[in-house]
Amino acid sequence: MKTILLLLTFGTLVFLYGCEPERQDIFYGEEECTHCNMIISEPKFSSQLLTNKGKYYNFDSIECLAGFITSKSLPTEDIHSAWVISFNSENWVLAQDAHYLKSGNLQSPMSLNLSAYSNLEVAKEYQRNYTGEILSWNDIQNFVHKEWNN
Amino acid sequence: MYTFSINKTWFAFLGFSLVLIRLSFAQPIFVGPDQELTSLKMAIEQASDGDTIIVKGGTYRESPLFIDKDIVLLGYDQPEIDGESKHQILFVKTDHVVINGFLFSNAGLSHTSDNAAIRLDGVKGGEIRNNTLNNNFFGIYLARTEGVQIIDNTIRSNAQRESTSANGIHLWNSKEILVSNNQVIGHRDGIYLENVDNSEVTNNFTEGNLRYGLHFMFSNDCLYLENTFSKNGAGVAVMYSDRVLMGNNRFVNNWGSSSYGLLLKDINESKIYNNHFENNTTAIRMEGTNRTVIKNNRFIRNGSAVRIMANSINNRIEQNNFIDNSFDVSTNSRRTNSSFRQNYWSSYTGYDLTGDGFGDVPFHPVRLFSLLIERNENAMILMRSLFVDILDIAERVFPVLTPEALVDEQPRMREWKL
Repeated sequence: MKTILLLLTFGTLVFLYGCEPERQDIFYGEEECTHCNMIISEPKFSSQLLTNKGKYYNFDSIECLAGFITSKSLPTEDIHSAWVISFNSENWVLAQDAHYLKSGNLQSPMSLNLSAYSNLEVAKEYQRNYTGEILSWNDIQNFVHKEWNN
Repeated sequence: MYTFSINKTWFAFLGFSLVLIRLSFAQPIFVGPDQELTSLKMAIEQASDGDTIIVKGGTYRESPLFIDKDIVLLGYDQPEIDGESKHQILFVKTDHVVINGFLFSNAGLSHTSDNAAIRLDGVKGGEIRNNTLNNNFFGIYLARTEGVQIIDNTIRSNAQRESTSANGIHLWNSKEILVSNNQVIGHRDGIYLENVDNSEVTNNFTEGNLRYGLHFMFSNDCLYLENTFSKNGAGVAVMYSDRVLMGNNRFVNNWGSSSYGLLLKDINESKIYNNHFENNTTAIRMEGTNRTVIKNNRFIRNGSAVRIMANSINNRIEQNNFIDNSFDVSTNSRRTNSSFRQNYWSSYTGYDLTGDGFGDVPFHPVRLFSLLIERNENAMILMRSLFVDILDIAERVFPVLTPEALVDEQPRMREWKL
């Protein structure tokens, strides 16, 4: 009996652990940005937010993700993780681990012209080619907050 | 006497050379497979300001081509300029260039540069007319321009995925642009305007574009009239723009979960007159839309005709025809700050004893059922059930849950002739 209980508890724990929210694929051209309602069309600028309950929100740009967070549309404690796509490789990166470039020569869907990079070296390489300013996730949130006044 | 005769000869000579110069201006430069000049690039290099280059039929693979002279490019027998799926094709950096009668194909897809078939950057004036654009990344791309005209072009791409295709006509940081009589098919956005002021988009046809038929971002004081938007991801999105006039357009067959005929987001003081909305999932969705007038439009067989969100204030919706829509008006709030007046509602069942053409019983266009769906989308399955009909009737008689102020006090008895 004890073993069965133990197994059950263990099983439940494993099951619950498996319920860690996971990043979801975005259906480009079909899904809407949660913040600006535009249809999400360019993978290289898109982003995603996961909640602790496993809900996910998709965005067409980094500025919309940051705007959604800073406008407190969702209680901060509900946020599980924020994801952005690396501009050069189109791989997903955690927003706080990414490096950002704000450059008028790389125009993003909501025209704050932000792109993300998993690797600082790559970000610097793009900066050399396209000019602009390298920012952190914190800078991005402050910048969007100030720019959009939300 | 002697000096006079010298002067006379001198003047005669001067006059003659002026005529020669004038003639050489008027003489076009010919390019073609059967001409002395076979290279368009060479012809552009040889040309000087004011010249006309006539390009004969054939295929020219010399992209990218740069134009830094004020010239006229005329295609004869629709010559093809091919970007070989690698390059941008034509880059114009001078004012008043005319491009007429060409076929541009295969401007290369790029993740980091906005390759276009025709790009004008930092110019005033210019005309792009009567061209065909096939399978390009961007079609026509205008940046920092003023007073350019884009007329009678056919722009087609067979984009399967949004990332492999960009906008058909892309206008950025420009003003006083005319986009007229073009067809844009199968791009990302058919026609895209960002930071474009005082411009006109008229008589265009956009179909099968993956995102929007027409897309405004931060563009004020523009108008679009007499266009048709069909089967795009969504018809038209007008976002973050003020004083836009939208008239006599057709929004048809924009079906899909995130599809609209017209999406309005953060719009002020605009006018939506005399448009035709038929067979759209949502004909108009209004979010953050203020002081806008929606008048004399036809809403026929849409899922939702007008979807108005709580953050929209002081709009006037009047003298429209609402015919056979599943939901005439839907909203996400009990409060409303917009007015509905003198519309014709096909679902209105009241009477007109006073005989003034308007019903004596006010009409509440928001169905209770639409509020239920707002909270639980799956309830849609009950759409045509008797139970829902009874609920709706009960709610119309005694509005408890639906917005009380969202009411048409003067519902029109017969359709407006629009």
